[in-house]
Amino acid sequence: MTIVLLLISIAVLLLLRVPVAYAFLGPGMVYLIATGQSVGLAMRLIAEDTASFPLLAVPLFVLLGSLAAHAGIAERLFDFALALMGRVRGGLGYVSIGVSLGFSWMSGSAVADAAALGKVQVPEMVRRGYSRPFSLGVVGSSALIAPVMPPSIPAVIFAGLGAVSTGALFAASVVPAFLMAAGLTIVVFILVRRQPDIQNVGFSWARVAETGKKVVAPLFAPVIILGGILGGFFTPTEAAGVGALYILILGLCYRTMKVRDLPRIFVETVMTTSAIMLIVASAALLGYVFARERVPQDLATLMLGISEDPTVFLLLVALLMLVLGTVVDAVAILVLTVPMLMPIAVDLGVDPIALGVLMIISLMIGLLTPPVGTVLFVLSSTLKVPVGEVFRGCLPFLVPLVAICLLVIFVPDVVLWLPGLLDL
Amino acid sequence: GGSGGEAEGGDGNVELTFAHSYTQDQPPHRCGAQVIKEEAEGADVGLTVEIYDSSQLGGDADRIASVASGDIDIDLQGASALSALHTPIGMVDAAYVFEDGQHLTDFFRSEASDDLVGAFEEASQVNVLGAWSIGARHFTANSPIRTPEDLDGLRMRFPGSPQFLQNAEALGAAATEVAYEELYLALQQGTVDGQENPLTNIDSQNMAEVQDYLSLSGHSLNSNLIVVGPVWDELDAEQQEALQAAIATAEDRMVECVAEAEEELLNEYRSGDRIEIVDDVDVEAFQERTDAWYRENLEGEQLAAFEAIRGSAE
Amino acid sequence: MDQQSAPTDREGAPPTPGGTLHRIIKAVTAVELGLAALALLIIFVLILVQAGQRYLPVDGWAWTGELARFSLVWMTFTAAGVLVSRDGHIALQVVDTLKSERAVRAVHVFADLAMAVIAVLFARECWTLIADAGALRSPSMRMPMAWLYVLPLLGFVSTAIRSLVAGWLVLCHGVGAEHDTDSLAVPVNREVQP
Ligand code: NA
Ligand code: NA
Repeated sequence: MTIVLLLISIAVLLLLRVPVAYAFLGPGMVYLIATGQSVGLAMRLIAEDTASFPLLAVPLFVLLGSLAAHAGIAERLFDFALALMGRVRGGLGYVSIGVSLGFSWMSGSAVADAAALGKVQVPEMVRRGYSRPFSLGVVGSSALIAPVMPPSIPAVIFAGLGAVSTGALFAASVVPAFLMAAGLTIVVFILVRRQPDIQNVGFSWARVAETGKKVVAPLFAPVIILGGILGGFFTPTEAAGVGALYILILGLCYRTMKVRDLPRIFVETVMTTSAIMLIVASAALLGYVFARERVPQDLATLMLGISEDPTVFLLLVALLMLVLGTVVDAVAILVLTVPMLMPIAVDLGVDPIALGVLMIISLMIGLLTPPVGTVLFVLSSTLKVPVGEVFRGCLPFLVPLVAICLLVIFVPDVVLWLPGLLDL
Repeated sequence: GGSGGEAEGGDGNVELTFAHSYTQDQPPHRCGAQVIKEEAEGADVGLTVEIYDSSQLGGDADRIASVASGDIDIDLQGASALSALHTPIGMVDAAYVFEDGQHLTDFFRSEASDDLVGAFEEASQVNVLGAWSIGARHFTANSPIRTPEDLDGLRMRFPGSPQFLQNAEALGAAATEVAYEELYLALQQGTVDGQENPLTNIDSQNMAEVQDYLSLSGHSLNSNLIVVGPVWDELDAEQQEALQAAIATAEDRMVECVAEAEEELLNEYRSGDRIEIVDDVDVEAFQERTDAWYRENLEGEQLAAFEAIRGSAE
Repeated sequence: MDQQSAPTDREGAPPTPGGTLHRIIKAVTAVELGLAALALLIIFVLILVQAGQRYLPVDGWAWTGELARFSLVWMTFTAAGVLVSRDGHIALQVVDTLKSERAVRAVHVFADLAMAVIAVLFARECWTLIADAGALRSPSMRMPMAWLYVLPLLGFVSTAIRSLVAGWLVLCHGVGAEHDTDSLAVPVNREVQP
């Protein structure tokens, strides 16, 4: 009964536009007061959960993405991809996916990716005769590659919560991220056939070489980050810092970034991180309330009651993530559900790494669906188009994303192959 | 209300909230917390115990404040973590101070611990009702560690708390900081060369997969102090007695249980080829070194605690 | 699912830039963001130091990890107030699509009030933790744990005041006004960095 009341009050607050963090903090606090806990417990709980070592990677990866955006790396990737795909029909659609794929190695969040790439690409595509919903759809959906491809902020959070190796989770995400790009490419291939008006740009090897030179150094960043982790030079959290330092130096060398831009970049990073971390913290308070009320045990009984088959369990998890992901922020869902789902997964013999990748992909799909589709909002506001139009554009691209979720469920080797190969 | 606001009816029924960090199949839960619950409830003096395992109510060190504020009634805490409240109590986790797990439990039952525990309780407002070892800490690395000299040139990961870092220095190890969450990967990739932990942690983190040698140094008896918050003063005499007796029973069970679990694990390691067990660690050489180091470098209450513990050894 | 795209279209009369309120908010914002950015810089530097010292012939400092973790707390809660003025908190925006401007305005005022109340409750928590701090010190730095809550206290007080200001502005000038109290934009909800 208590939990039902709690959930209802959270839903009401969310509907009434109270920020997610406060919609969690308020009812959580009321519960602690009502059950006679001491004053200060709530604050201690949220501060202690924020002060976690693995979470230090969050601000650092946000900083890395912000630095990469300011250093003009997205533009360099765009020029290079354009030079490669100039003569291909619907080339800009593939360019968009390619740029997202390249940038995903430096960005850990879809929102940062959509913000950095949308503004350049969508106007360019519309100018060349691509339909606006299509342009928005391809940019919005390919932005989801960033949080799946390492470095990934949701992966960092999952690894911290589930006590699994961040490096293994990173490695496990590489293949699904490439599959996402491949799936989106197929949708582009199908859709551009129905767009007669699009113009192509020319192709020349000289242009490929010239633009290619400019992306060599930026694309060395993932080598430093992943290579640094897998080669044993630093831990994932340290790799985030070293990656940010590398891009910072690169931006200063390119003169696309000046030292006096740094305060602004830092403030941007602080704001984004704070918004994420407040939700992590508030969800942790709610997690405490759930633990007190034995919700994890009840959920386990419920899920195991439906079936004890690992595949059915993963299907249920994906479904739960897709549904929750449409209304609640992805990070909040991870913080709340990972501690509950992990013991069940271990019980059923589900690999925690496969669970993590599945949860991240299925949650990221929620970024493209109303009412809380953060990527939709970012594109809508950057480009001054209605959210509904962005969503319509994204719809066909949801098909391959859902298909990849199913692939991960039924063929977990897709995920486990690379970590196995690397002996992680 | 001290007991986390749990109902304390007119009939004298008290519900105690018991939190700890271990999973349900680790000895501190099976033989420690569960036994305390069964014994205390079975005494039929109006006590019920609700256990929250696996850090559900917050991380290890984070829960100390909750015990002091009465949001958690009973908790299992390592002495090194409790040294955040009162430094000298950390000496319980110092290197080679106790002979074995039984000695640790006996020390807390005897008068020899009165000064240390009294000073701790005064500083922390938290009561210590007993103690057990969850198993001795051993070294793992990619080379055997038999003597203090074998530690030369190895980057060894120690937990980042002052007591453990002090132990590292006393043992002659170069301590490196890596968060526990990142330890497996750091060992695997060679970011650090080795680490030290009780067998139960070495097993739960699958460290045998990424380390070649387990050197049975047994240099520190990773302790659990059974701490009880302000609810202790709200219990009547009969309830206090029942709880204390329940803890004593659990302490005895833990000594056997830890020994059994360690034996089982070592047999498993010996029969497999994942990790090689080094039996012939020169414990005396380490002991001499740490004893000399502590006597030379400790002072005040820390030295007093050290001497009280050493003095209680037969 | 036809959501209004950019609620900035719905202009109200914002407080005059250069007015006293505007200037105060700007100054306070600068302090809050300065502290939060400093915390980020500390995290950045300490993590690099921790990575670097493994390869240098120096002993590791045990406190680097701890200070970095505490800095994350300081950064998160210090910036919380500014997030209110910039509508940077992640929120569900279904209500912005309501046809009635009065209804949208009422909901915004309610949300601001709710945030203010919750922020006051948490400011009280911080205050208690600072005032009644026990003997607890951090394991490595031996920092009194009361210090951890000083900046969060400021953040929650700021959140409470800023929510009330935002609510008041919406009440008087409409929804467009509340987010123009500050000039910089954030890439959360709907505002995006240039
Ligand atoms: Na990424
Ligand atoms: Na959504």
